[in-house]
Amino acid sequence: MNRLSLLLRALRWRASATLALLAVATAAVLAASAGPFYYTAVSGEVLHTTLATSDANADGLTAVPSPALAGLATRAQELEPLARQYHLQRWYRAPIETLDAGINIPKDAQGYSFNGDLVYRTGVCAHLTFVSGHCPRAAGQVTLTQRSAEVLEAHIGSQVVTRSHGFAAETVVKVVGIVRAGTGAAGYWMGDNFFDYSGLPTSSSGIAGFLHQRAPQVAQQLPQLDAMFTVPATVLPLPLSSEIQFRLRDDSVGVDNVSQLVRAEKRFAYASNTRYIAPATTPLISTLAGVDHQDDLMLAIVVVVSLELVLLTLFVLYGLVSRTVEARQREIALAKLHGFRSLSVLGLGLLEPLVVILAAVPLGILLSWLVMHLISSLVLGGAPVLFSPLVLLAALAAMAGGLVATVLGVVRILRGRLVDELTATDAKPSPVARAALDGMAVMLAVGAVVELRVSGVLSGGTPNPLALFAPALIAVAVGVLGVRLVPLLCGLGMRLTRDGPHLATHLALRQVVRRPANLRQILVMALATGLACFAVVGWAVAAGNRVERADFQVGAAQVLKVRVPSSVDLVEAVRRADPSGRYAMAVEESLTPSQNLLAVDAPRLARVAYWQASVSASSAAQLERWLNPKVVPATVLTGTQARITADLSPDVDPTPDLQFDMVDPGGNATLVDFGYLAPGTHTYEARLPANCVGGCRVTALAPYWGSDPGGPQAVRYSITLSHFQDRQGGAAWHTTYAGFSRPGYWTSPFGQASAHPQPGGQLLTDFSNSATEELVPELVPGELPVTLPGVSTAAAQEPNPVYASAEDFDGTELTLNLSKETVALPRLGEYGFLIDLSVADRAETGPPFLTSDQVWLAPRTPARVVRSLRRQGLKVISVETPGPLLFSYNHGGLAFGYLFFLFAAAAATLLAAGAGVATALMSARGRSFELAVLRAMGVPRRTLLSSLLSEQMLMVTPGVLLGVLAGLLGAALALSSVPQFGSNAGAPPPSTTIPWLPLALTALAMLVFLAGSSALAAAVALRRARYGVLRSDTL
Amino acid sequence: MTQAPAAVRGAAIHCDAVVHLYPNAGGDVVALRGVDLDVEGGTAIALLGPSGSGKSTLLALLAGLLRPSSGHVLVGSHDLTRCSNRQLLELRGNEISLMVQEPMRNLLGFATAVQNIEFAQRGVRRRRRQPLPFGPEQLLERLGMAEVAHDTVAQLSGGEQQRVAIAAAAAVAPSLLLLDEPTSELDRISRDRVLELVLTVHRELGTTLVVVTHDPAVASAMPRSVSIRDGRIGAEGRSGEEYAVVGRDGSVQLPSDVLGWIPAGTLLRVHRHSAGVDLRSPELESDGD
Repeated sequence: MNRLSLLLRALRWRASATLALLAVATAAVLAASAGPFYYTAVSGEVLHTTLATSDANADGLTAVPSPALAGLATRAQELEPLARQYHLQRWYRAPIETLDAGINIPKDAQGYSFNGDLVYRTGVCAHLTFVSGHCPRAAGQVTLTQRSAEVLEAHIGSQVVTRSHGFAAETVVKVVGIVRAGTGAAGYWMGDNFFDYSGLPTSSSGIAGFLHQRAPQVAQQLPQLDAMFTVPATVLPLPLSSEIQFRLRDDSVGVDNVSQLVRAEKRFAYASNTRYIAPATTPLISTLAGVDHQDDLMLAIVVVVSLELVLLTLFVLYGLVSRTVEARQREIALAKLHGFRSLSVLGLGLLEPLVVILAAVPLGILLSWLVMHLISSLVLGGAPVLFSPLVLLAALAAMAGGLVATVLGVVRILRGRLVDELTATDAKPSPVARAALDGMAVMLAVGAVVELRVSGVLSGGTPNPLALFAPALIAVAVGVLGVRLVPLLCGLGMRLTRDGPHLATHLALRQVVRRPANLRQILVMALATGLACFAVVGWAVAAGNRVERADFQVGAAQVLKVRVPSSVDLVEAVRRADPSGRYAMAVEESLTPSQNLLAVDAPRLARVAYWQASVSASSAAQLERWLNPKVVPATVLTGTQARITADLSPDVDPTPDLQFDMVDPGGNATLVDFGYLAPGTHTYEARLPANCVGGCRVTALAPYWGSDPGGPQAVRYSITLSHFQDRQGGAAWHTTYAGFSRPGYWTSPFGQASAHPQPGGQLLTDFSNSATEELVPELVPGELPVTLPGVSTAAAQEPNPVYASAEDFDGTELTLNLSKETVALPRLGEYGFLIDLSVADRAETGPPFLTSDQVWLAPRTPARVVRSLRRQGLKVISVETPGPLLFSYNHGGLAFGYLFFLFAAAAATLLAAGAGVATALMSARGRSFELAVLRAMGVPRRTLLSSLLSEQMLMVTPGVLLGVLAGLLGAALALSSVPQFGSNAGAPPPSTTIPWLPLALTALAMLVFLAGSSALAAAVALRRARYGVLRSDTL
Repeated sequence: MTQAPAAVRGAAIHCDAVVHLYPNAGGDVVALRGVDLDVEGGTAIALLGPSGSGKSTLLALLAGLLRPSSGHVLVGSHDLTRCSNRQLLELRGNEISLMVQEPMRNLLGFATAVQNIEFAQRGVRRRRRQPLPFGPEQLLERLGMAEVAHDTVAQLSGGEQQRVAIAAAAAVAPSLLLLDEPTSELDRISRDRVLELVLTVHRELGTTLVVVTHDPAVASAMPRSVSIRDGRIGAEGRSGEEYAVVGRDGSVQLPSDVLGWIPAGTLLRVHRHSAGVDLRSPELESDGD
């Protein structure tokens, strides 16, 4: 007998049920194995994106031979075999050796000396663009960049005298090549800038201006030339620093070899340090550690979500396989009647479902791979989707429900009484056993949620991916309760509608009560809907938080890093460019790692900056007011000329020179000198320094008095000042505010001077000069309060909760009142101070250094504002937006984890719909007889259809509603505990506000989709209910 | 039948004081109340009786599907009350075939007639003493059903399905063939064809045949009929003659037509004479006077 033929006939006979089971089992395998596939693809993408955006890619691996052994230092040819020994060539290219001797080029004809570098770098000539000449081939030959050659007035064949730092001996090198100055941006240069020509000092600002412009190299005394490239023989005799760099090969680091790479690097670094005294470092290790952390979190999310899917597939497949086995009850009874052995009976009963679910394994895995491949192409940039044993394990786990049902089917088949099986129409599982199982499921689910809560997983403290279990557990609990409650309610409804006119409703209620097995769908739908709702809510919240964090960390919609001429006041320039105050804000950020100071034009903070309410108890508007206290206005001279009326008395000899100390907009100290005063009242005019076009703030009135030899060594005099005015070019004079009539505006910090406002806007000043005193008596205008308002992060406040010292941009110590605190500050993170930029500027006593001048722009800033900024003299160096940061967040492991949850939710929805359809189709054969009877009795088809649809809705609606409830409860319990970022330090706390619109749309979509698919299946069932069915009772 | 089939020795049946109770929450239901029945091997009997009389229960006991609450059921040399489940399973595979009511309950609807017979033959143990006398197609040909051999049984008519079901039951050449209502729901022509098939199987195989039926025509076609009422054997028909059966406790069930004439509770006087006993009612006698 051809048993295979019989099996195939049986499968064909129950084609719709078989196909439904196959489809659902395939979907189950697909859903379960999607996680491992997804993980392999996303791991690669996270690694790729992180490496692409990190320093590790540019910096590679760098070994720095000990400078103590300069001259005998380890060379590349020694480290290269070592690298090969540890197989580093798999990931790194051949080493690039750099020998760098710092040199000084003595004064030229104009009296300038220069700093420079004589550099040997492996293969450098291939990366230089020669204008003339050739690559150095012998000792003493060098290349010069065009601009260096220009200032040195050198050409091919010229000889340049150089002197090593700290060495008196001179080395003469010969220029053999002129090259274009590069940018150092190409990968070969690995972030090192050999083209750091600083230009000549400008005459207007002098050396001080140069120092400000070259702030990062403030310690240098001389202008810098681009590096001169040469051969090793030129530099080896000189004191030098060297480094050996290994550049990463493109796309060499993958998830499959990253652990080997880390191991190889560590071993290489150890050997390099111990054998060759050349410590090797790479940012790759810490970058990979970050990737690892992300990877671990993502893996945890994927595993948890996959387990939830497996839980769902367990319920779905258990129900379907049970039905398949039940549908074969008569065949099994027949086999028993014919005296089949137990094994044969089991084979007959279980072969069919087993064949179907086993066929689903390869099919599901293949489909899963294809789906993930598609997702990878669309979302992950084509990251490879790899097969791993985890895929098979997940697929088999998905089959667990089917296998459990199969095992229970075995028990039922073996224990069933043949005489009952021969006569029974429907198998009815023991209600006690079912109630016990349900009770156990609820207890386990609730117990697990309680355990998660008690163990701190759901406490909202440390993020924990296990919190993602909560929605599924709650869905199981409420789903089981729904399974139990719905028949009770339907029973009540059935009694109420028994004698009423609504036959369809009554029939539907009756069916629900009569067939409790079908109500298992409620559990499946509640679980699927719960997962979907939680996934959508979680994804929406996480996506919103990623955007908010990127915005917050960048600070504004656009951050323009600008170069501000010394003559331009940044705050005033921005205010002029955007008088409305809605679009642009001047900002200065400290680049000193320990300083952590951010100064903003406070009145614009709330409207321009991205600020999150969650970072502070005070709103942005409150902080804005706090940072911008009423302070006395400064005395500012703007333009090219100033004049003042002064009345000197008594006549002293020599007369004092009337000078005002000032700082220009760039923070440089300067002065305006009105010359020696003459006795009596006179008006004096003076030229303002060029930078005062942008406004120079008066910092002191400090008349200079120098004693004549043989003359008095100490004098006392008074100067009555009035009419302090400035003007630009030949324009009309403009009276500047000088506080002459304001008591206490002018104060003497060291004594020896005093100021007394007089009627008519005059200021009477008294000075007591002494030739022996080093301190010149001075009067200082409009001093700031001792304590300035500031905002600090909580972390920065720790030593002193209210007041703290912070360094201004020029190093001046500020005493800040830190009554307002935040969790984090834009751009600075968890440790920093925020002050008003105008206040910071006024507090400065010297030029700032290591700062970044910025203009923050609000979203939808009109282009005219940027154009206007340029007109104000600001040069935009670079533009930073939250986009790249958001991109890196969106391509991080956690974002991909949430994305997977969305895919899982879609898969869960499909599974639930498939289960609904399959259940309807499987019961259609049994139902067709009674439907046909009802039709024969004259019940209209429309009423039957309405009854079937109502029956489906009686199961779908509670399932969806309970699922929404589970999703909501899960979100409320778990959202604050689910990791959204690798770390929450230095960032606003992630929001956990439930977005109602996505939730409502998801619930509606679930209801429509599940009800639609079930209704379709019901319609198919009704089509079977023909009168012909009544003529035979077939299996 | 064109060819002599292999001989099968029909199994004798011996039921001794068989009682069967169905447990019930509201009190046990007595289905059989001390049935004594002897059937010679290779003979055919019909079990008659109204619904609920216990005839299907007796059939289930004979098939080893149920165990009697008391008494003994012997089929051939096997005391079914003492057989293990495994032995019962083996008996059903080799010796006893039961065809339950409704033909499709005995058939795989999706399979052909041939496949159904093959399916039935799968239960036969290899160590069975006698090989099966014929294969599926051979059997169907012998039973005159060659034309439907490869049709899916669900698509056959009710009569054809019934005949295939009987063929499947007979396919293992059992020593006892039990048929439960083989002609119910059939028209007369179909009934006659089925009956002819049943008797053919009985004659050709020599198997013991027990047919449960409501149909007097079927009963009359059998050489012996046994009527069961209220769980007791009340009457037997042999060669057209109807006999009342004296129970172990001395009870005698009156024929149903007589029962209508003598209402329950009527007092009867028993007169013994050389040819047997007479039952006389003083009230009826006085009425007659």
